[in-house]
Amino acid sequence: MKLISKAAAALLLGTVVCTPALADPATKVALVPGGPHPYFAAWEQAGMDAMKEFNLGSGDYRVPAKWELSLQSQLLESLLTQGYNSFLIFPGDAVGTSSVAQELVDNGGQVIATAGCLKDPSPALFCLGTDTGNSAYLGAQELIKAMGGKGRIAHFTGFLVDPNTQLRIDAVQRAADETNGAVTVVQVIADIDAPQPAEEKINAYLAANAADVDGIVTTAWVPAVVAANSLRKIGDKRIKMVGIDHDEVVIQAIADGFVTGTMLQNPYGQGFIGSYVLDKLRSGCTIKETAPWKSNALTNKFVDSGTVFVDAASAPTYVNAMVGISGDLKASMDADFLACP
Amino acid sequence: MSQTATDADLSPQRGAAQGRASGGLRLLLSNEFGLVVLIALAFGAFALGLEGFTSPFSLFTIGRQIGIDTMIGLAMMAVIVTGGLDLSVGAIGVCAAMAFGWVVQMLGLPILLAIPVTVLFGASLGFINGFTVVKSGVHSFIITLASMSIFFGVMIFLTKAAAFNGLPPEVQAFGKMKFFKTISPILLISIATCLLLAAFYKLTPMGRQMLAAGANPRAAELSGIRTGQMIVACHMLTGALAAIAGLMVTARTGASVPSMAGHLGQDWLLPAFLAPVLGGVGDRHPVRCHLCQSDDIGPVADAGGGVLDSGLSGDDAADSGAGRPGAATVPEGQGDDLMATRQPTDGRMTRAFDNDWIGPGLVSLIAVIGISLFQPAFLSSFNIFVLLAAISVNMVIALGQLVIIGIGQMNLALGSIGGLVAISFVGVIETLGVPVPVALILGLGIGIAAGMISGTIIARTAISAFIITLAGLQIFKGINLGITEAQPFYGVPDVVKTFGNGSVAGPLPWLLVPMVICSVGMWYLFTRMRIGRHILAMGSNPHAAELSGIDPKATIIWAHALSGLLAAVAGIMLVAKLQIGQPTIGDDWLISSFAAPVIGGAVLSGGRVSVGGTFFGVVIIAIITQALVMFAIDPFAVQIVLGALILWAVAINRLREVRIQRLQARGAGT
Repeated sequence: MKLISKAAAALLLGTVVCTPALADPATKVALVPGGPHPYFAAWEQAGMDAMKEFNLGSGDYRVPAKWELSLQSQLLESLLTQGYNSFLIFPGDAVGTSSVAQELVDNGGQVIATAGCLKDPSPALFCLGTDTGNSAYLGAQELIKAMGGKGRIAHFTGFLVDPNTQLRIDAVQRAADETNGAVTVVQVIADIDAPQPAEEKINAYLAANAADVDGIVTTAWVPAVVAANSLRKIGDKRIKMVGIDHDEVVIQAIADGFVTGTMLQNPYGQGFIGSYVLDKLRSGCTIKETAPWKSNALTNKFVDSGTVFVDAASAPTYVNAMVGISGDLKASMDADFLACP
Repeated sequence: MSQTATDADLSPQRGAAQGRASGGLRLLLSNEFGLVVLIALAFGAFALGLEGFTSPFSLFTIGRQIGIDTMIGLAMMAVIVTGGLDLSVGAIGVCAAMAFGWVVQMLGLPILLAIPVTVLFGASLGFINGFTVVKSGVHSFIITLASMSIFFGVMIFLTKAAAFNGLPPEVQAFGKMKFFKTISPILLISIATCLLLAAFYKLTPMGRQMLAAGANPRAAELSGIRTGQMIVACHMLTGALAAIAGLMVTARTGASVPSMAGHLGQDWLLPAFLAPVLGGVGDRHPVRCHLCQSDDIGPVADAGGGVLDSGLSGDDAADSGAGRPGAATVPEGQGDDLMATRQPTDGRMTRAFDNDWIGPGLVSLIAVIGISLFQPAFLSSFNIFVLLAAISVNMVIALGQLVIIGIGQMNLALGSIGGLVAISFVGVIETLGVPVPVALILGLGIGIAAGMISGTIIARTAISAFIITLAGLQIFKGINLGITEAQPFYGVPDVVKTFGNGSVAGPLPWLLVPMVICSVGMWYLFTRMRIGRHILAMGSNPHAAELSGIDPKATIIWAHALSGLLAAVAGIMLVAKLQIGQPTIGDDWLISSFAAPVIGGAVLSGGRVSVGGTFFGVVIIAIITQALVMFAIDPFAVQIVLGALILWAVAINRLREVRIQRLQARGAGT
């Protein structure tokens, strides 16, 4: 929460200085994740700040009670009938969420896929998020560097029904393959983005294989937390680990030397700047045809909300890094993506 | 289903009341009328309080969702009427939907041809379930637990979780089609299916045979009905209906998506159970484990008719107290005596192996030896520590469900109570600075209170435990998320972390201590304490139990309070183990909490439980989990192997049972 507060304060300061008042109070933004998850906690503050800052009709963070595709779809349909007209959605499924997004658009809503992308073709204006495959690839590269360019890697990741999981598995494998055999991915443990199975499987793995593995890369929140705790428990600083996200356990483990680093994402910036863009578009702005979209495995309309590798040296100042990225992102949106009358 | 105890208990009174009532009054007393009133009230409340609720779009989307959920509920109903369960209903639905995507997108099959192919595919998966249940004599809960893993695992393995999103536009157009701007054809299909099924059950010989097989399998057999065939047919019907539900979701999303029903298809389980139970299906067709045992397959102990390893079955408890209303039914400490009167008389060896825990124990031993041979690190000190720590927590979770299974009910709120206690325990320490012992007492108190609330409502209203605990699940989880906003509590004191990760001596974790206390306590409760035997008596035959002087309401409240206490203990143990107060603690307890007791010999309809068997059920699951990691199974093949290993474990146990029965039969013949 400290990260969110600091990032929010810095971004707001920048916005007050830079943003002309073009707000549309009829813009009712709903920020809807796939389910309850610590990653999205920053969205609530981001929505409230955006509502206040841009004079929106609302900037409400609405969470499905469970991480369940049908529940998210029902929630989105309900929000539409309640008058929300702008949606930042983390797709519960890269394909399965498209139809409900299309329904929102058909009924006058506008959608930005946020923190995760919809697979093309989709009704989303664009995807604002972390390039999950690239983040995993960069994380694996950092790990390989920390391992001295050789060794054996274990990869702990999320649910297999999430297509992003396959992208992450492929990305880590690609980073290993680029070492021409010096680094091998010896095991992938998936379906562990929940505390109990993560704890049981990661500990079981380390109990049997700690001596045979040189590095761990985690590409989901819960496995990162559990693996950081496990390495602390066995007191093994020989095994290098690169995690993901900014859980306090992971940040502390970096500071204490049990974890090499983590791939930070930018949830606050996604929520805040996403709300800003939706309001701009409702206020008469359009998206430039020359917008410099990036591509990833799911879409050709991708905007990278930023990912930063944080290690022990940069951990004390990582908040500044994220604020910097968010500031750059907003400036880029104004200059390169939005055409306003 | 979970209502077997209380409903069976109440049904004679209800039936008599309805018999005396006039036609109009009978309608007013009916379950269906109550549901209609409830729906009308809910609709009115939402229409008044929720903006846009009555808009055409809202009505359309609600109706479409009702259509899908109805089809899922019908799929489960088709197997519940036989007294079985099908945990794989979601997995079948997803597999069928993915098969549809494959034949349409990859093979270019026309939609109108692909639909019957998909339904047949679903029915064939149902056939596999039904055939295995009938031929193995193992409860459908276990078989479909394994098949859920295998079906879903094969699908994930083949597709690598990639969706088929190149379906013809007609598919999605159908999902969006509206009649009169509000009515989805999906809803109409479900209504039509309801009517067809009603006609099928009432008007056709096969439908009536299915119902007869479910209502009283023994009588059905004597009437010439092949119950085995009926069970297979019911599972096929379940598979076909699940496939139609999968097609409906495909039409809604416009693509065949592997995640449409969540991990392993589990997202469908609640609507699948809820709809039939709300509709009263479980009242008339209680879950039985003996249903699938026709004489030509081989006998298996009747529900509640066996003897638990702790020394008592529910029938014994109830019978011993019959005719003494208001009196204690079984003198304390006589469980072993009762067990002795039920022992077979065919020799010491048979008696020695006639315990529920022996089979799972043997499987555990074989698994330990086998894995150790291939992976010596399995027996390393650290690995034993890890294994024992996992077993400790999972055993307490399983005991929390076991006590409710004993009474013939289900506690769906077990995980949400554990999760609420977990975050409350850490939350008061972190935010209020409460000392650990006080937080511990508070956490346990919350667990007991939550259980007592559920139990009291169930006992006082006679509403199905399934429904009450389902509501409890939502409420307790809602409180959890309201408190935490999905953020973990990090302020776990060092002493708690040490308890969760330290060892008493060598590889023995501290977490063993609460597990041993809870296990011995539960064993003592079931064998030596009056309340324990009252629970089993209620689960075995609630009507006889009540005639024997047992207070059903007090027993139900006790059982749920105890379950809440055990959930609380498990939640706090997990906080200590994870070193963090995660709001998601408890989310994944449901299936494992049932699996271990059932593998250990518990009967879902109540009256028969085994603490020892449950322990080894937990051990088997923990060993399988570890083995999958240790042998570096391809992540996309893990679920297939997991399902196969569950079947292997159950098969060994089943072989043992068959052998004992043969020995008993031989002994009886001499």
